[in-house]
Amino acid sequence: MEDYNARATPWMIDEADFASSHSLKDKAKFLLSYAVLAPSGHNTQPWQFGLTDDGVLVYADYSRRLPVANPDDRELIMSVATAITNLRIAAAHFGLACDVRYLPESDKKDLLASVRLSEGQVDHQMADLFPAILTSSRS
Amino acid sequence: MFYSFFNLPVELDDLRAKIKSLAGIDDEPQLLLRIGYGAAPKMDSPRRLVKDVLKG
Repeated sequence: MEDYNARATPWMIDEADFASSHSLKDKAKFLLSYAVLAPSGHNTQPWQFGLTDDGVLVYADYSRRLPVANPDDRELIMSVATAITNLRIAAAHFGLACDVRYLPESDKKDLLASVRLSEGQVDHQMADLFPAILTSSRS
Repeated sequence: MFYSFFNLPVELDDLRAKIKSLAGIDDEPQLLLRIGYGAAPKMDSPRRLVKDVLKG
C-alpha cells in the first residue's frame, strides 16, 4: 500500500507535466490522467487502457459490470465513452488532433475504441470544454 | 450547480417510455440527471490512477 498524498490524488494534475512528455506515447499516457477523471455509472470506472506508439486503445472492463442494475451493459459502455470524451477534450486542450475509431476490431468485444494522436487539426470546440473536467462537481 | 445521475428509471422499459413521453422526444432517453444547487461536496469522488487502469 502506497502512502496517500496530494500528489497521488488523481484530481491533482500539473498541466506543466505535459511539456515533459516528448513522444506521442508519453503524451497519450499523460492525457489518460484526464480520461480517468470521467464520471461513470455508480463510479464503477469500467475502463482500461493500452498505450500504443501514437495513442491509446480503450477497453471495457467487464469485471466491473453491474449485472442487476444494468444487465445489458448500456451504461457501462456510456461510462467508457465519457472517458473517451475526456481524452478527446484533453488532447484538444494540449494542441493535439485526436482520431477515434469505435469498435476497430469486430472480434474483440472489449476493445471499444482506438485513439490516434497527431499534430493535425485541433478540435477547438472540444478544447473549450477542458475546464469542466476539473471544475465539475467531481461526481 | 451540481448534478447527479438518477438513472434507474431509464433502465426499465415502461418507465423509459414515460420519460420519453414526458420529455416529448422521439429518441430513446439515455441518461437522466438531477441538477440543482447544494452544498459543495466535502471530498472529491475517488478515481483510480492511470497506472491502475493500464493493461499489461
